[in-house]
Amino acid sequence: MENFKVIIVEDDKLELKGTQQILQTEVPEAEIIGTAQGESDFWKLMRDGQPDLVLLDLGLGGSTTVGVDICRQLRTRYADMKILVFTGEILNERLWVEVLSAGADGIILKTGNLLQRDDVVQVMHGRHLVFNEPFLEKVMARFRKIVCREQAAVDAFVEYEIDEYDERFLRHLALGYTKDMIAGLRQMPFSTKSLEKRQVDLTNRLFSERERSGVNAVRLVVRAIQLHIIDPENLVADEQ
Amino acid sequence: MNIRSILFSILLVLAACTSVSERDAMLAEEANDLAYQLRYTDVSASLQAAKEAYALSSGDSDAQAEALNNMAYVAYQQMRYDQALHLLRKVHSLSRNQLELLCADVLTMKVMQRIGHGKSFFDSRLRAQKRLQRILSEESSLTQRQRLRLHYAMTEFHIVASTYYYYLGQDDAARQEIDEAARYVNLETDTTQWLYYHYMLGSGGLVEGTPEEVTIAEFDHLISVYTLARVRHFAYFEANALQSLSAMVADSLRATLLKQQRLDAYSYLYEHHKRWQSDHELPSRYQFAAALSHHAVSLFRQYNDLFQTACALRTLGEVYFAAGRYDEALRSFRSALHLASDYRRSPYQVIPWLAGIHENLSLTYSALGDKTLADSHRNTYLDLLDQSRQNRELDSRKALLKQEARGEQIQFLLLLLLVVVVVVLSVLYYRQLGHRSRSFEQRVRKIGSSEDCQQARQRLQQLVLESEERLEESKEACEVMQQRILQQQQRHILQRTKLSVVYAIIPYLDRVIAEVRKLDEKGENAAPHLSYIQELCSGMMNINDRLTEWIQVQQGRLSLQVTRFPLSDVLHVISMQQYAFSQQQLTLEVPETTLQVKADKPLTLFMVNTLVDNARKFTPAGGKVSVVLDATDDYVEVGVCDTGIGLSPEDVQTLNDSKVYDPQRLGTPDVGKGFGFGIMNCKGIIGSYKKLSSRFNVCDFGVESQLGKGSRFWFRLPRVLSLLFLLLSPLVHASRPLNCGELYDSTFTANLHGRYADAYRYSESAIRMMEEPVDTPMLVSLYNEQAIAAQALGWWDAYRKSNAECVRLHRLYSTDGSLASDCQRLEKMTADSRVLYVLIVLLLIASLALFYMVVLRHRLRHRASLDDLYQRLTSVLQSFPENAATLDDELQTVIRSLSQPQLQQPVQRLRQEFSAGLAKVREAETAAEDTEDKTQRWRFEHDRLYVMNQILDNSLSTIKHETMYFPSRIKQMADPSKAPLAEETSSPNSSLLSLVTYYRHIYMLLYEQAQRQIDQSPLRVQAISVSDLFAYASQSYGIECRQTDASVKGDGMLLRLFLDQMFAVVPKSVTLSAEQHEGMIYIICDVPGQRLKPEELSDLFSPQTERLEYLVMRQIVREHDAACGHPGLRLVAENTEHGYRIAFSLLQRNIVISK
Repeated sequence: MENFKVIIVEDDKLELKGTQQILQTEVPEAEIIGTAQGESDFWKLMRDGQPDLVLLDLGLGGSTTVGVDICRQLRTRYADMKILVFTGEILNERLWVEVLSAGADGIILKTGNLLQRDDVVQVMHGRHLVFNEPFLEKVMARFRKIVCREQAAVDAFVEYEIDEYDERFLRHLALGYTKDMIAGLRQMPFSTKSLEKRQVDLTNRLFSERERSGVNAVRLVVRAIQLHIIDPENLVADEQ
Repeated sequence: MNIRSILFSILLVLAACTSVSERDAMLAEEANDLAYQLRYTDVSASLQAAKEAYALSSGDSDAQAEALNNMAYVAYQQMRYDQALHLLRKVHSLSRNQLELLCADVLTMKVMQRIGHGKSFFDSRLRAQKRLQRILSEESSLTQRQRLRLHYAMTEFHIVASTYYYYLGQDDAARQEIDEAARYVNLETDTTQWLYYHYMLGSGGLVEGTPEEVTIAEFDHLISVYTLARVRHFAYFEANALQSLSAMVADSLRATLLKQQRLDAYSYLYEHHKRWQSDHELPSRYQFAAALSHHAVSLFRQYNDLFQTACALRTLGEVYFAAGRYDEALRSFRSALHLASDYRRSPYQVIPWLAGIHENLSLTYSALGDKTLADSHRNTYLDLLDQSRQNRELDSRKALLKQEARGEQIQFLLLLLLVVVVVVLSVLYYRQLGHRSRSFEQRVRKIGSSEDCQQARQRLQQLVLESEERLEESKEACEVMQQRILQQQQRHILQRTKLSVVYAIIPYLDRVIAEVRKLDEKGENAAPHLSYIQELCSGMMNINDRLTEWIQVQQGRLSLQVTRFPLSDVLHVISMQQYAFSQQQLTLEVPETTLQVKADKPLTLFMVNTLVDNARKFTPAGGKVSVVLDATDDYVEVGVCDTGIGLSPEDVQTLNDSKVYDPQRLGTPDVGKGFGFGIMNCKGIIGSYKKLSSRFNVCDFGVESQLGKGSRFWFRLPRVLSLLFLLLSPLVHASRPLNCGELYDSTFTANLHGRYADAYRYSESAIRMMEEPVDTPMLVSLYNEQAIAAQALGWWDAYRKSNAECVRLHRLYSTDGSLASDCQRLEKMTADSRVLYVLIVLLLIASLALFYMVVLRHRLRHRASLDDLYQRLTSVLQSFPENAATLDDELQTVIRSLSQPQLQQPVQRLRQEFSAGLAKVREAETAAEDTEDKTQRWRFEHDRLYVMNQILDNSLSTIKHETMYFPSRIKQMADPSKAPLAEETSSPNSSLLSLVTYYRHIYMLLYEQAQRQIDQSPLRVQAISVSDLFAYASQSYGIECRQTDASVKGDGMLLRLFLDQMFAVVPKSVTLSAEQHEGMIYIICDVPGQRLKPEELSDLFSPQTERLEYLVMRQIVREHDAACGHPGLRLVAENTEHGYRIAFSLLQRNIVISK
């Protein structure tokens, strides 16, 4: 790897010292051309000389999320510049998304194994979405959850013997359709009466014998959502 | 003179010319005279003489009858009432002499009066009256001796009747009778009856006038009786007079009056009784009274009158009692009871007399502290009162019957009179009708100024006032609630700020961990890493110090909101979860309770709710969760039991003993782990109660559980005893009305437990509170309980008052059901005369009906409609405001029915006036309801924030306590000078690593517990005009502000708090201005003067800062950042040419943020 210039933006002196040490010992190619503790210091440095990489802390002094804005401005002005965001916000997932939208090449959480030589090398080689291990773990946990939910939906269809009409019926119930209205749908070739039967049948399938008493349409739909048979984020009515 | 009276004269003459020899007749007459004369001097001698007379007059039925009468009198004096009645019956069977029969009847009355047989008393009285009429019509033909005998009978008749009425409480009738007696009393001809008459007047209750006049008059009567009886040796009257005088002298007021106005007689009496004064330790007044009573007792004993001896002993006892000599009093009363019990086997009893003795004994025992005997005598006393009441009812019924019989004759006359009156009135009425129709019209016209209307108007005014007051009050309550919620919000922001400081340690910790790991790597030089770790630890310690400082500052200021409240308030809210439980096939049992506790109400609700929620989470379908209360005098234990999966013994131990634990590790792995932080929070709350005051030492928290069987989580709060609450409640809850029944129960319970002063107080309030209609049995019971309490406390005046009231009401209160049979008798007696009444009445009705049909009907009909309308109008006004909802319609109907426009107008005006008033009331009511709703919502919000803050308090303090020492420990272990030591071990830095990792684990755990409380943003983002903020700054702090028309998105309250914080740390000479830049508004605070050093500038908003205010400001900006969904808001401090400035940015309003 060729030598490159770095600016570190970090408001905490102790942390700055730690980061400097890591760079010096693990990434000898990096030449730290300046460090800034605040936004105005940083822009002043930028006027003096343009770095190849900016290691940017998200919170500076009283402005706890100013890094997002700095990142966005940098990306607008210097499209090729590498930006690696450094953050202690290990619980604030919303901010991570904001940072990536603002154009950062990667996020290094200030926890676990912190900054590694690999991370810097990858960014310098032009890779986007560079994350350290704790970050990846968290992303993976989220991802697993979503996949599991999708699988649960498939399982529920099999387990409770849900066919496309059941799904359509439940989905439209959730959208507030009456049975008469559902019976009038093009893809529902059933009478109101047989829909009523279907509802009873669904209740019997989705609820155990003990739970069945007093189950109305609302409870049925809620159960269907809980079992991932219908997806509340994807409730769209069929064409009439 | 009619034939009957002629026959009567012949009978008297024949009676005089009987076959016995004249000498014997003379002797018999003398013996009878002697018996009569001696009856108040020496009963035995009198009896002897009477027996002699009876023996001498064999064959002369009249003389025999007189002898028998005299014998009967002696029997009466000796309380042998059955014998007396037997002798009197013998008189009736033996003699036809009306005079003797009259005497026998009068004596029967006297006996019946004493034994309380009112009905027989009236029978005899009726007979005596009839006889008296017959004898009086022949009075002129009586001999001198017969006339004397008649006068005797007359005086006796009236005096006995007077006595009877006096005891019945009919004082007027009693006075009337004694006045009648006065006509026949003559000192010369019959001294005994004169004495009897004056004694009666002197003995009390029959003289009218002011208390002073009565005392003097009675004293005069008694003293004349005493002196005369003494001279003539009438021991009976002498003793009676002394007894009454004794009672009079014992009364300090009356005694003083007598000494002032009747000093001679008083001294005379005093001197005469010096030798009777045995007890010289008594105050002189009581000594004197006791002497009189002693004398009376001795005279009665000589005279051999059991009844009066007992009475005199009672008087003596009462004198001792009043003097406080309870032992002596007891001795007297017991002698009286002893005398009374001697005679108790007799078939006839003198109940009030016996009752009196028992009452005296009850009081005396009470004064001596023997509660058992006092109660026993009081019960006997009440039983006897009950008996005598029943007798008296018979009396009064009889009197009623008699009155009706007499009334019927009058009724007949009245009926005739009525016929005439009705006819006359009908005519008058007819003429009046016309006049009244006109006056009705007049009144409808003036309805607006009528009294009913004025009153209704006042009530309307009152309504308007009340509704306005309610609105005012609800507004005030709302403002108070707003203030309180503001405080909680500010406190919440402070908590969030502190939590952010807590969070600032975590990156340091992660750095330390990374550095420690590097120590293990080969070829690394340990020294720079160790020194960096040292620096990081110092940094953490620095932050910890700041945090400690701020938490301590806060703790001094905050405390729990401890109030006393009924647990049912909290449990009611919990029981509203029934539905959610039933959805999971779980049963939730919440008990009813009246227990009161002293605690923080929102926190108590939070605790019960947390425990119930946990129980629900860990109980499978079909199970049961129940709230169980257990109370001792000191605390109430609230337990939440479930039939759930339970906990292992290790988990139970962890929950009970450790302050910090990982909730995720508790529970059985296969069923479900994770208790959440609820239990830890509950324990924290109990801990803060204990820190508050020693009153809360009873507070505790605990868990009992068995795997597979269920758990019980419980906590204890100090109990407030309900009775105490009852007493304090007028102060605490002024609005809560107590009913008399509750107070009666409290009275009864208090008496039962010997808390007499409480009982007396309760009964007083209950009696005061009793409203119409009075519940007489309850009132009697209340007075009885009050008397018992007063007796036990030795408050004798209060006792006498309560007891008198109890006895009086007791007599009034009657539940006898046998009245019907008496009525039947009455009806039968009067049925015949009623036929006549009915005929007359029918005739009257028929003629009235004719009058009505022919003449009156038309005129009435004309007027009726007007009358009816006016009535409706007034009733509408009178029933206002109950009919407020329908008033308008009702008045409209009246207006429609009034045919004449000049009558309609005033009512129309009235209608408009009231409609307007009511509209005002409705408006105010609606506004008040809205405000109350708002207050309610804010109260909910406040409680939520309050609980959150309280828990954050606990969490922060736990973080402080549990993690404080770690940084210094790590620093110590990472000391480079000790590093070679560490290298000797096989894994040199493993202990350091495990310490740091453990620290991070605990720290993160506690942080997350606290973090969970602040998930929700506390902000209400709305458009805020910057000039408003500036106005606040200049008004509150006198800050100079540049004009601006910018407006921003933000939370007004928090922004004001921001300014508060800022002006707490910068001088007041600053200038505020606003600048717009790229969709942001920068609010700039220029601080003139000194510029800040670079370190100061960079640390200003970091956890290392000197002042918490800077961090609160940072937190507020951060909250805005999160709430607006637009990261990048600034808060910076920088130096300027003339000093430094603090600037912060907010989103400009009317710029749409696109993502």
